[in-house]
Amino acid sequence: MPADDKVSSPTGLNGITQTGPSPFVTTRWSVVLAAQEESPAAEEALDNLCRIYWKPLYAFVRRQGLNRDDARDLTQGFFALLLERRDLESLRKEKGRFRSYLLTAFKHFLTDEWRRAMAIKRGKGQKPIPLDEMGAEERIEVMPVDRATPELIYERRWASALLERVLNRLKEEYRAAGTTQLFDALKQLLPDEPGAPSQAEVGQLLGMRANAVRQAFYRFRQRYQSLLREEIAHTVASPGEVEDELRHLITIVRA
Amino acid sequence: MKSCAVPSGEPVRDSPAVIRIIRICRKCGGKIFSDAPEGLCTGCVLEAALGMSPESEVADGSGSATPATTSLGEFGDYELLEEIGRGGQGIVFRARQKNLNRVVALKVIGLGQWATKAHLRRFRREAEAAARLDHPGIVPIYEVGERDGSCYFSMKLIEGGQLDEVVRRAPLSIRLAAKLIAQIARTVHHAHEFGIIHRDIKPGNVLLDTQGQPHLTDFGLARLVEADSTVTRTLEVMGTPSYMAPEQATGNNADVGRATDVYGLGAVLYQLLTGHPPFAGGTTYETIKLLLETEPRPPRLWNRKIDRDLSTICLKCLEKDPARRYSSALALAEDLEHWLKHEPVAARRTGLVTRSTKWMRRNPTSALLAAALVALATAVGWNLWKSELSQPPLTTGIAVLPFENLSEQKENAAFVDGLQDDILTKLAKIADLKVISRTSVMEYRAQQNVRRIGQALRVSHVLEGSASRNGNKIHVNAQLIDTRSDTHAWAEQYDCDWNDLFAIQSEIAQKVAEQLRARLSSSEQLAIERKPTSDLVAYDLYSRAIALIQQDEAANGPKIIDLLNQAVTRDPSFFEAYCQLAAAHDAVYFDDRDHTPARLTKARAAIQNAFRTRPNAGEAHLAQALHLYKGYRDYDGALAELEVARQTLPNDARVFRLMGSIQRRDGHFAEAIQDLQRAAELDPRDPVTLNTVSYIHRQFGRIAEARMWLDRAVAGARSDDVYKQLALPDWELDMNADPRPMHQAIASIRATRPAAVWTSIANFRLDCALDERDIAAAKEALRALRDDEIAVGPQIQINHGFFEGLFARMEKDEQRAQREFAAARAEQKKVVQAQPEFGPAWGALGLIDAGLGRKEDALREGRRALELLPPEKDAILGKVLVRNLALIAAWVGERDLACEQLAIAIAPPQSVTYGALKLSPLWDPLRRDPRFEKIVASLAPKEHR
Repeated sequence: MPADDKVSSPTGLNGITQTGPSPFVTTRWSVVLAAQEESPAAEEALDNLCRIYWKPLYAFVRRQGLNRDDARDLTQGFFALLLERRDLESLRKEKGRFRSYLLTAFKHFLTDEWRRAMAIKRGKGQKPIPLDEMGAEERIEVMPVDRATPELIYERRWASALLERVLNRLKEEYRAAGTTQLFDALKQLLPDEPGAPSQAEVGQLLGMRANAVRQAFYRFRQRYQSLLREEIAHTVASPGEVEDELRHLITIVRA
Repeated sequence: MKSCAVPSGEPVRDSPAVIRIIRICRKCGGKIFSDAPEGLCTGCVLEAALGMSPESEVADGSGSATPATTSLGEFGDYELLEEIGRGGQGIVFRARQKNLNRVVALKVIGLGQWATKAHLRRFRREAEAAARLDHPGIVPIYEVGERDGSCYFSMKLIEGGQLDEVVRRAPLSIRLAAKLIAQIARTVHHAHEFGIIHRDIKPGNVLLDTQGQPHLTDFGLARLVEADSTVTRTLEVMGTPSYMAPEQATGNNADVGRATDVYGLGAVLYQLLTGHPPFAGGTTYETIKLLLETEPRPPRLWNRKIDRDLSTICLKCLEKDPARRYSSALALAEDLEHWLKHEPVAARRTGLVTRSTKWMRRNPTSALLAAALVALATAVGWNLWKSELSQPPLTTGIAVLPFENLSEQKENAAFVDGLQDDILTKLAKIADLKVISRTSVMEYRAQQNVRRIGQALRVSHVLEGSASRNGNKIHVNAQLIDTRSDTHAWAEQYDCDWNDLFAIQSEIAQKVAEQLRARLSSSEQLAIERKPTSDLVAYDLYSRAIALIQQDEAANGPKIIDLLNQAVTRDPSFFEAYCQLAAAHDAVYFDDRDHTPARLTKARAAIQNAFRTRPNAGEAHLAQALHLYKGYRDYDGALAELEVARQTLPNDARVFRLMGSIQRRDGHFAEAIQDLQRAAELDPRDPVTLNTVSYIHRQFGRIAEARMWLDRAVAGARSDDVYKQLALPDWELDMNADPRPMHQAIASIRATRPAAVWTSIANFRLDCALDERDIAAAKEALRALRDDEIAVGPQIQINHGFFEGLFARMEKDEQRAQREFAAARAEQKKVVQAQPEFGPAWGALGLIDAGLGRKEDALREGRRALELLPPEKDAILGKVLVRNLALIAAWVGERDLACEQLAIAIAPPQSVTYGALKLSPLWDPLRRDPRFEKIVASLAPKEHR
C-alpha cells in the first residue's frame, strides 16, 4: 500500500471529529453548575475535573512556600472536602469558569475554618487523587527561581495541564490507530517554530509525499483544535466563553 | 560548619529535581520548561489553535484519493481547497469561487469577540478602498465580506510564496534586495497617491510570484484594530512588533502616515540585507523597548559586504522621527535606483547621537514606553510590568567583594583573589544576573557598610568572605548579604583540602544563583560546574598572572606571559590560561612594545589552543576578537566574533567594552557610546570605560557630557590610582590651557608617593613641563622614561633623542639640536625597518626629519604614515597622524599645509587639544600666523572667546 493512501484515510479519526452533538451539551463544568441537587453525574464530572487540574493548585501552594508533603496534604485535603461537600450552592452563584472557581475555593480553604475541617477529613484518610499519581508527578516542583506570583504560576500550570491533557488524548487516538510515529512527527509542526523539521523533512522521514503530509497535518491540527476547544469547554459555563478563555490562557503563558 | 562539603571534582547539586528551562522557543522567544507538554512551546501550540473555530468552516474531506483536489469544506460561495498560510490575522486558503469558477486566495479573519460592528465597517471600507487600487504590484482584491462573525476577502492567487519564506530557502543577493525594495516602494507610492496607507509592511505581506515579481498584499488591514489605539490589539492582529514603526508601537495613530510605510520598507530591506529584523527582543516588551530606546545595529555589522551607502539608505528609513525618513516612498525608490546605478545617493550618514535627539526630545522615551506599556499591561496584568518600570530599579544584581586573606603567608593572596575571581566569572555567565565586574568591586576590599555598597553599585546582594590556606588545608568562609535589609541571605564555612578548591567555588556560585533566584540554562549550569584546570600548581601560576594583569598589564607584560606559559606547560588543556596568554601577546603588539609578526604568531597559537580545548567557548571568541582587532584592525571580523562571544558571556563587561573600542576606531561613535554605556552598567567603576566615553564626547565638543563622564571616572577610580589625582588637572590643561593644577598635582604626588609612582606619571610631567617652558623639569621627566614609553602626542612612539633635540632648540643650541635629532633618526630608522607597514613609526620618523630640516623626506614620511593608517582605517590614530602631518609641515615651514591639516585635525573627532595648541613649544613655528591663531581661538573655552 503506498504511503500516501495510508494517511489520506488518515487515522481512523474521522468519526470522532464529525459525529456526536456539539461538545457543549455535556461539558463537565456545565453539568456541575446545572445540577440542582445531589447528582451522580455532577459528582463524577467534578471528580474528573479535579483529577486533571490538581497540578496547578499544587504548584500554587508550593509557590506559597510549603514543602512537598504539606503541599500534597493540603491539595488532597482540599479535593476531599470539595468532592464531599461539593459546595454546589456557592458554585452555582459563581457561574464563572472552573479555573477561577477552583482557585477562589482553594484560597477559602486555606483559611482556618477550612483547614480545621480538613484536619478531620485527613484523619479519615480520604485521598481523592491516588498517591502514586502524585508520586509520579513529584518532579513537578515549582521553580525556585521563578519570580512570578503564585496566582500566575497557578494559571500557567493550568494552561499546561490543559494542553497536556489535550495532547495526551490526541496521542492516544493516533496510538490507537497505530500511527504513533505520525503523531510524533506532526506535533513538531504544530508550533511552526523556525528550525523545526519542515513538512518536506517530515515527508522524507515517513516516506510520504508533500501533499500527503500537508493533508495529514491539516487533519492533525483540526483534531487538535477541536480537542483543545472541547477541553476548554469542559471548564467554562457557556459556549461563548471558549474563545475568550483560550485567548486568556495564551496571554498568561506569554506573560 | 560544613566539613569537606563536596567531594573533589563532583558537580555540586543538592536541590531537588525542579522544573528547568530546557530551551528558548525560536519562534516567540518564550521559555520552554522541562515539563512542557511534548516538549513544545506551550504558547505557540495554543496559538496554533487560534483564528479558526473548527465547527464553522471545516468539514472533513471524504478521503478522496487525490489529496491535491481534496476539498476542505465550504465557506459561502467558496470551496476551500488547501490552507496556504496562517498567522495572527487569520488563515489563507486556496479556494474555488463557485459562481465564477475561478481559483482565488481567500483570507478568513477570525476576529473573535473583540471585533465590533464599527471595526468591521471600517475594515470593509479600507479593504474596498484598497480593492480599487489597480497596480501590477498590488494583489487585487475581488470581494470583501462578513460571514459568521468572520471577515473575509478574496483576492488574486499569487503562485509563489511569501517573501520571508522564499528568502529563507534562498537568500537574495544584496543588489536584488535593493531592486526588489525599490520596486515595492514605487508600488507603495502609487497607493499613497490614492491616499491609502498600508500600515503593516513586512516580509509576510510581500508575495513573490513565480517570476520573482513582488506583490504587496493586506493593504490597510492593520486599520482594522488601530482606532482603539491599544497596542495589545494591534499586536494580536499584526503579530511581531519587529517591523513596526515607533509611532505605531506607541499607539500614536495621529502620526501614522506615509512615513510609516517608508519605515516598513526600510525594515523589510534590513531583513533582506542582514537576515534579521531591525529590532528583536525575547519578548514583545523587550522588542518595543529596543525599538523606542535604541538605534538599529548598522547593517554593515551583520554583513560587511553591504555597501556603506546602501546601509545609510536603509537606516534613513528606520529613523525614529518620521520627519527624518525619506519624504516619500518614491524618494526611497529613487535613491535605491541611484545606488543600483552607482550614482551618488541622497541619504547622508547621520551617525552620531544627534540622530534621534530631536524626536526623542519631543517624545521622551519614558513617556513613549509608558504609553506602549500601559496598553500592553492591560492585557498581561499590571503587576508583571510594574517591577520593570518602578524607579529606581534596584535589581537583583550582585557584587562579589574581594575575599579577605587570612593566610599566614602573604603569597597566598593570589589564591584568595583567584577564589573571588572564579566565583565572579562563573556568576557573570548567567544571563539572568547582573554581576558587577572585578575592577568595580576592588575598592570595597575593607569596607563594611553593605547598604552603601549596594546603593553605589546598584545591586541587591553582596557576597563577601575570607579564606586562608595553610599547607594543603584551606578554610573558606562566605556570606551572602541582602544590601537592602543588611541581613544574611546565606552563609557557609568550608574546611577542606586544597584539592576541593574548585568544588567549593562551584558550590558557592551555585548557592548564590539559587538565592538570587536566577534562572539557569543548562549551559550556564555547566559553566558553573566546570573546573578551570585539574592541576593546582598551574592554577596558582594562573592566579598570579591574573593578579599582575589587574595591577598593571602594560608594565607587567613579560612577567604575565611567563607565568601563563608555565601554566599551560603544566596543563596543556588549561583553557582560560590560553585566552589570557593570547590577550597578553596582543596587548604587547598593539601597544607598540613589539609590533612584529612573530608576536602575532604567538597570540594565534594560544587562541588555537583555546579553541582546541573548548570549541565555541565565549572566552575563546573574545580572545579571537581581541586578536583580530589589535593584530589586524579587522573591525568587522572582531565584531562578528564578539557577537558570538556575547551569547555565552551575556554579562561580561569586557565584551561590550571591546565592542565600544572597536566601534570607536571604526568611526561609529554613537554605537561606541552605546556599547560602552552597557559596559559601564556591568562595570560601573571601570575608569577605562568611563574615560573613553568622556573622551568621545570631548572629541565631538560635547563638553558637559564629557565632564560628567570624567567626573564619574574619577569618582570610580581606586584611591591609590594616580589617575584619580591627575584626570581633572589634565582636563584643565587640555580644555582651558591652564597648567597650574597639573603642576600642583604632580608636585603633590612627588611629595607623598614613592618614586615608582613618579616614573609612571613622567609622561604627564614631560608635557606639563614643556607647556610651562621648564626645560630642567622636562629633562628630569624624560630621564624617568624608557624609550618605549616616550610618545609625542597620544600614541606616536618616539625616542629620547627627539626630545633632547627639542630641548636644545629651545635653549637655542642648534648644533646640539642637530646632533640629537641625527641620533634620534638613526634609532627611528631601525624601528621603521622592523615594521615598515606601521604608520605611526613613519610619523615619528617624519617628525625627526622635520627637526633636521630634511623637508622633502619629512613630508613624504608624514604622508606615508597617513596612507598606511588613514582615519578611515582608524578614526582615532588616523586623526592623530593628520595632526602629526600638520606638525611636520609647521616645522619645515609649509604653513599652508600645516594650517590645512590642522583644520582637519580639529574637526570632530578632534585629535588636538586647545591646551596643546596654545602652550606647547611643538607648535611654536606656527605662532603669530593668523590662520593658526584663528584655529586656536576657535577651540578656546566659551568664556575666553
